[in-house]
Amino acid sequence: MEREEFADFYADSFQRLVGQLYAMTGDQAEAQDAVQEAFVRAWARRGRMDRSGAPEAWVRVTAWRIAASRWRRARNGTRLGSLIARPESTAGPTPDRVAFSDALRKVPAEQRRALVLYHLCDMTVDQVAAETGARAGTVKARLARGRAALAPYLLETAAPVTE
Amino acid sequence: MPELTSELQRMADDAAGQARPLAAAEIIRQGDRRRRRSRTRRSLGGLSAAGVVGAGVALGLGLTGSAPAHATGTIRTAAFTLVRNATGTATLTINNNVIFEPATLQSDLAQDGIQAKVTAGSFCSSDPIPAGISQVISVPAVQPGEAPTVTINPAAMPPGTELSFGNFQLANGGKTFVALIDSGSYTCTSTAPVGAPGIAAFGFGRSPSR
Repeated sequence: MEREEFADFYADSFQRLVGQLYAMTGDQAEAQDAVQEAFVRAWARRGRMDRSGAPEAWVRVTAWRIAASRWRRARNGTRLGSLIARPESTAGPTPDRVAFSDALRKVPAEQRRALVLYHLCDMTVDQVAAETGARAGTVKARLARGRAALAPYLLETAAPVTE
Repeated sequence: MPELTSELQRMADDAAGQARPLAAAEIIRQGDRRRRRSRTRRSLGGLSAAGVVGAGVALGLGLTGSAPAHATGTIRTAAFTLVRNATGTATLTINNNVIFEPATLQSDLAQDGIQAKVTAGSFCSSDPIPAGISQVISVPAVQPGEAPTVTINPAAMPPGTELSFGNFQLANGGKTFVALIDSGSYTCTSTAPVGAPGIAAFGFGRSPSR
């Protein structure tokens, strides 16, 4: 990938990836920082990224690993997404949305990652499995558990997981 | 009550809208620097593995050779400026008007031989806090509205310690807390250590316009 192509790729995908990482981590600053760092690595190792054939997925996986690694080092087991104290009050979101955000923060990190990839990134179970390195059955279980945890806060809770 | 896909999308859109990307040129610059660094490491590793006579000396020279980039010079990002002084100290200026970049700062400090744990919205500390922070850092007073700076003397860091930097957005502006921590034993919390003993803090001077 040449400089200009990389710059276009960065401009096109940076904000989308920050949004996805935020949904996975629950932390805006961490999401932005991890994605930024992943792009630095992407340029430094662009040969490897090019060979992956899916540069955006490569950056997302790298950003997730960066965020997860920091979380493990910093908290030694504390759930991702609780690193940053939430503002005491937020203007705008309805109580339903605040409750949903709180519930999402309590979902274990790998379940939340699966939920985001499946529901937000519109991936199939097999694609989620490929990106996360888990088996399809594990992905299905994570999706089911994550959705069950969020069920009290959602309108639709029983939509089946499709392949 | 929200629906899962639309709620995730809303969260992601909000976060994406708040994201403030560095310029692509800066990402490329940092990537190039990392690539050069890893090439240097690989070539040093190869030299060592080859068992060349006098490899120890050559390795030492190699490290010295790679040092000038870090010995003096300036690293500028949107979030901070790090100046390596000829005396071996480093001067860090934080631009609190943009989102902090903990990983980048930690990596750049490490390049300058300053082991540090850099976090945003959380702060890592040891109990007890290792003494000597006043020998390691100095924080000059700043005028209202001036960017805060701190000068770091890595040579004064006691063995087995590293620096902890924690950046917080508080009600009266951005503030960065600094302490020495025991590298092998520390915990992190999301509470700003305002007024805690043994912990230095620096931030923007209160501007009359704020």
